[in-house]
Amino acid sequence: MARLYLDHAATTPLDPAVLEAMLPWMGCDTGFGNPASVTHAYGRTAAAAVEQARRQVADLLQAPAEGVIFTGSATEAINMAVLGSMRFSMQRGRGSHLVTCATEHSAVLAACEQLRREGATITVLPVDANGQLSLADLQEALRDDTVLVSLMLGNNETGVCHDIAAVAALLQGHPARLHVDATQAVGKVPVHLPALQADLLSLSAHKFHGPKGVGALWRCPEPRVRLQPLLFGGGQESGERSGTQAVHQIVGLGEACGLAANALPAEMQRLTALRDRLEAGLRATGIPMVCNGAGRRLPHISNLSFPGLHGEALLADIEPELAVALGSACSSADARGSHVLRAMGLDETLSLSAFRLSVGRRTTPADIDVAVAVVARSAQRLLRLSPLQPRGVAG
Amino acid sequence: MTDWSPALLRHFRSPVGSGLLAGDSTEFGTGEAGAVKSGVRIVYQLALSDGDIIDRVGWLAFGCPATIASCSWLAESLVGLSVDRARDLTGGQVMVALDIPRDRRSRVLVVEDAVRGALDAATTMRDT
Repeated sequence: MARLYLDHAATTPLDPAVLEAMLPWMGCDTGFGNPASVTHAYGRTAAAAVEQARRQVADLLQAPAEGVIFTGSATEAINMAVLGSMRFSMQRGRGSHLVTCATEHSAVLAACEQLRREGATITVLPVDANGQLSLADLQEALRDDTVLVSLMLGNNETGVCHDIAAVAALLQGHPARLHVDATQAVGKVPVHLPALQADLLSLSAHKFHGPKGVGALWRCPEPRVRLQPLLFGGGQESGERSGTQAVHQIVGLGEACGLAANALPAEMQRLTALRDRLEAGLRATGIPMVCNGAGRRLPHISNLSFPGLHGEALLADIEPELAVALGSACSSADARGSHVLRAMGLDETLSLSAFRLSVGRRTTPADIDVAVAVVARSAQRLLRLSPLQPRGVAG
Repeated sequence: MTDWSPALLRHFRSPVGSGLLAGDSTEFGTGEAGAVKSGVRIVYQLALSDGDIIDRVGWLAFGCPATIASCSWLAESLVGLSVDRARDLTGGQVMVALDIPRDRRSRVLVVEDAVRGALDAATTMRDT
């Protein structure tokens, strides 16, 4: 039996159409031009492909194309947004305060830690048991010297969404910029900048069937949000991300954006139905289960806890048939477990038994039914071994 | 994900002696070790025959595959041993037999603690 892939929040398989679009830009005889070498056709052709991809990204975001900066990953885009805007401001004495949230991706939180070492003040907002942020807390955290508010659109572990439009409305009249980490959301839900009113937005191709190794930062071009570059050199990407553009990767990102634009919003509804079928199916088995995170959620992520089970044991049991992620990255490498679940206040029995299942473009309702059966079978077997359940008697 | 050895996975997927022992609790000794917040919790039980031989073993485990497999391997090994021979069984032997990854060896020691607690309780019960 083939192993079912239900870890699309980690990465997604490359769409064949994306691969098809990328291949000409990896050729030995053509397609290898440097987009910066516009003195000949090789370079001009490559530059045109990069600009076409830039328009595809911008079209998906319903935003001006000149705001798109290609990067090597979402992590780089996030670092560029967080470090770049803060350093630009701090070097000019225009403020050194940043507001973020406890459930943000480690790319944001680690960049904030670096800023703290450089003299910035960081406010990390808490979330409630559902993973939701309080707008009142955000309002209270804002200061005159707040430079940046960095929040994710949808959480990568639980799928819980922040109300970014409401955050943007709250920031009206305040000089702070708004960075939105939309890495998990792009391609799954409409991510439109006119609605979000973000100043900066980061994304990654491989989360929505594009290639790994390429991401993008959109930054408002007018009035231009100023960033201190992370990389210095040839001045590519408007001087904000030096380094020869990886044409094949960028073309792949553009094609993935084009495909996503065509598929939405129907794909969002299909993913939502699959997620709901998964959660309803597991609930119907009668196995004790808690869904971690509530309110508006991304359509493709379920974070579920099975009290009494150890996540690693369940994972090892189902691994031959299902590829899923531990909801709590609790191992000897990180004994503290998931910072997201911890921020939501989950106790040990819930956080140690947490799983993330994430559906994708090729997932079918029949796949979900198989997943429910596999998880239920393993959970029932392991619960019989657990001292945290009403005690059974040796057979 | 950790690469578990075939021997470990065999015990994890088809564990020996799981579940608690039936009968009057005065007939067997129970040892408990670990804590949920540490990711491992064990209840281990042993019953002795008249000749001081372990004739029944039961256990419950909350923990990673290495924890469950260790309980199973010990259950398989303990039945038929005298109390003295059982005390010679160590976590180190379990680690070698199941090729326990270095970063999970502390879990085996928790299982060992539970087994020793069960042995102590069983012998105390026998002597009273």
